[in-house]
Amino acid sequence: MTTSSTSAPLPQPFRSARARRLNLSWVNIKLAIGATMILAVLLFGLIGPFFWDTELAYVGSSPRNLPPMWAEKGRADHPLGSESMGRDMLAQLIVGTPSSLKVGFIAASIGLGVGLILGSCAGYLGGRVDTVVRTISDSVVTIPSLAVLVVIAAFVKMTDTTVMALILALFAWPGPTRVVRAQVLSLRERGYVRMAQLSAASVPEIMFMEMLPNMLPWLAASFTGGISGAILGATGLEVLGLGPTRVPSLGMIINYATTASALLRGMYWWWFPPMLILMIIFTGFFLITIGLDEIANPRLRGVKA
Amino acid sequence: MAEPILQIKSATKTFGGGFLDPNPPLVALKDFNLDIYEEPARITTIAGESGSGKTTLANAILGFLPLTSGQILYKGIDIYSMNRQQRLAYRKEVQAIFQDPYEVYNPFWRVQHIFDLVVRRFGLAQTKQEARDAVEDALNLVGLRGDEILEKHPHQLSGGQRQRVMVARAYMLRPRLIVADEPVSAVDASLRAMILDIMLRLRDEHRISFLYITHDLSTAYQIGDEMVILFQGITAEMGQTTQIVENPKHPYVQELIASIPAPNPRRKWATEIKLPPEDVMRFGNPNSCRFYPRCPHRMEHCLNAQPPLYKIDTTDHEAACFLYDPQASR
Amino acid sequence: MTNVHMEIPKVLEVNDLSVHYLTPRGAVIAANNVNFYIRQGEIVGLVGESGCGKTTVAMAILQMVQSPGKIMAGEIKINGQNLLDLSEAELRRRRWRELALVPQGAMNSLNPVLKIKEQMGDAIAAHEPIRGRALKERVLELLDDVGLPARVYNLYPHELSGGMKQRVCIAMAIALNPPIIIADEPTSALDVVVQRVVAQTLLDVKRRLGVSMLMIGHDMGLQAQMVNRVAVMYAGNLVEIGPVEAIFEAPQHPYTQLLIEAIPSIDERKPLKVTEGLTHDLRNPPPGCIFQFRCPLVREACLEARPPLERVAADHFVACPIYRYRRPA
Repeated sequence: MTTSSTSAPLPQPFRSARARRLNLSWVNIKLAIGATMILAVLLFGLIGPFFWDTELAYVGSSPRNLPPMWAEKGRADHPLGSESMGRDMLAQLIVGTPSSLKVGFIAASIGLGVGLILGSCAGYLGGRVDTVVRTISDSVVTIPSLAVLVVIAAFVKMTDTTVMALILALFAWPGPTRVVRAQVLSLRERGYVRMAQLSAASVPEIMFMEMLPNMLPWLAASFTGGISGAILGATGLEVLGLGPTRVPSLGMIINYATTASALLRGMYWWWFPPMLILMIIFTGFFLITIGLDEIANPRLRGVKA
Repeated sequence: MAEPILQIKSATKTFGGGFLDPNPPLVALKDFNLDIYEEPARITTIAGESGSGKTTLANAILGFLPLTSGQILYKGIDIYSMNRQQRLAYRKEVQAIFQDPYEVYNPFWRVQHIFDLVVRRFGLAQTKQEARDAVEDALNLVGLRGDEILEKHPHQLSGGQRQRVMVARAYMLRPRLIVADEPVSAVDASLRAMILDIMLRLRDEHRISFLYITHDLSTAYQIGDEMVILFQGITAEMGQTTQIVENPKHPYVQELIASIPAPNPRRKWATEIKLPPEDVMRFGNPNSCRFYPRCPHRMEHCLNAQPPLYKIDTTDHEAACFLYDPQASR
Repeated sequence: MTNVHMEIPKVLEVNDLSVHYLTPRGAVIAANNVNFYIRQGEIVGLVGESGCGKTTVAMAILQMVQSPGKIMAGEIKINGQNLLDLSEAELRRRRWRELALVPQGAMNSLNPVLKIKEQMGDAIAAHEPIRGRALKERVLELLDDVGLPARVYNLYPHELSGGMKQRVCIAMAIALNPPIIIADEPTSALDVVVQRVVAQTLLDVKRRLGVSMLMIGHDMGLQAQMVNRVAVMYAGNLVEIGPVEAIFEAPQHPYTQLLIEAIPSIDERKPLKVTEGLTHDLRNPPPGCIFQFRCPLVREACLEARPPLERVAADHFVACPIYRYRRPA
């Protein structure tokens, strides 16, 4: 394998029992833990509605200000309690979680899609196209996104998560563009790209069949980083009360909790659970991203026989 | 005499030296001329050291590097102003194999992938079976079998196998000319003969010409028919390979051949050689003979102009040195 | 017959050296029981193709084998002292004083942000208590020894050509007058003419300073010009070692014969000799001779046990049982 520059022995790559069986030799521990966390949160949101009545997430559906079931006055039919408008906590979490994840996913996907197109054109075609794309993406990156988002959100009527995702996508594309462009620039000089050109391959063929497969780890890392960033932006807007009002989301729950002074009232069951889920989401995506980064780099070093 | 298939006319390539570049421009290739004929098939060696311009020439011929001035004509058409159809025809007739047998493979795909690309793009087969047969045929030519090669990933093959697969790929297109850029430099010495032998067989049995680009004059001597020796972008000497090696005329070529270490412990290098510091030689006077600082036969005359190619005797042996100027009065 | 050679002391002895690379899928045997020595004032060439282990042996001698490589067994003695017995601190003292390296791709081992005078000065000052003017004179003297002009003293590495950088590395290697220099492919990536200059510099240095050298490479022509004896390695094993004339004119081991035949001649055009390149898995060497899959003379006896090095003539050893059936050279 690769030799390191220190004299300490290289740690053997971690392999869980399942990884050994499936020969997933590229899985490392950060990726595994992060993926598990996100999977857990995802399942919670997707499978939850089959086990719990999501109607309870709406105003007035439950008794108000109920503490969770392990406290006195708590009831078993509202295990995590309820808040001042009569919404059951567990139901809110079950509905709000996928909504937050959805925003992140859509925004990051749009960002990656745009980034792929712009970045490839800029990197492969070079010249003026490259200069234009680079200037714009580098400028957008420096704009303080939350401030601008707040202004936009104040004017645009946010009815649902898709609209929000589109607005967030405005800031999600420069990152992937730069990553893709850097990758294309370096891959463009590779021998196999030359061979493909000699085989009269068309430009899309070269981009998608030759270069893209070798960019996957970087793209994946950029994507998960993008999801994380989009959820952060969305949550930021929601906590400030600028998110979609129809559908409960984790950020909105926190917003209601803040406006109703839940902290001062000691209603920890109101503000803590959404925060906990958000922490799990962010940490999970962070671990996946750095796990993928680790895979992306040794793969490069290990490629030469 | 048939028409040349490839004509390189006054090809010049300069790098840098633009408005924002503090260094003087680097002339990688200056007024290079060469005609390559397809009948009879032959191996033409372009020999030179690093910085001689041979890689620049290879890239220019393959369409990767537009020239600063001059033209590369394929059947009369400038390759840098071809339309799509003409380009496709050019790619079918002029192929390449490169030095690094690993870099040319996409690590993501199996070896089968490179053949699929070629079959698809050039319409080499109508059915899957035809394609499979064509690939197997090409692999057999280089001494390999499909079942031991196609399903593997590039890193699972040895360097010699990878290089042979590349030759098979080029052969599938039945090109007229294969540009071979240092094809055996990265292959073990004991396996080089295998690749060189394949090149000879392609020339003799399939009438494919080669442009063999190398710095190793020994292998060039073994397989080359004609040779062009480049020095800092200029043709120093050209002619039949045997003539140049046995009877070099240009002082640089003489120095070069004398410096090749003979694999005979009883025959050491004849004299000690002393070079002026190499950094002086690169950016010297652009109008003088490039070899002036190192030339043991230099004359006043040589500072004023780069000598053109002069014919030696009546053969096709030429050298770019004022020593062979028929009009020179000494 | 009295052998004058036997009286010259040995400066480097490598005895039964084995180096393995421990990968998760098994140990790669990079060097297997390698035995050779270098006498004072001689140059021994170490040749072989990719994967033969010559660089591994060089790294082992320098005690620079990096994980996952590990020296499993053997002795490396310099002037009688076994390096494997020494601590890291003592090794550091000895490196450069007793054993210097001219690395492959020396262009990349010079620090690009330091001038030559600083790099050479630092290397010397780290081992000897000389400073200031004396140090400067020493550096200039070394530059002159390798035929470089004095102005190189003030230049940065990127201002020098490949050949000049390589000669700076040679100058650094001889700075402390070590008895042994290991030159690992010192002229690869250099042009033929520049290669000749660098090779001459090395020979000149050896003549004047009486240094012994281990010259690692794969260019047989260069070996013929430079070395006194040649050691041939194949897949981690030393298969033949002998005087350079004998190796080139009458090689005994089938692999050496293959290597010599494969050298393209610039004297006459001969038909190419094509050989098969079957190799074994480096993790699973076959029992018996390591060359059995490619050897044109292979027999039963070759498959049983690994043939030991046997003496063929004065100073000439071969690891091939078939030798016994042939007349000695």
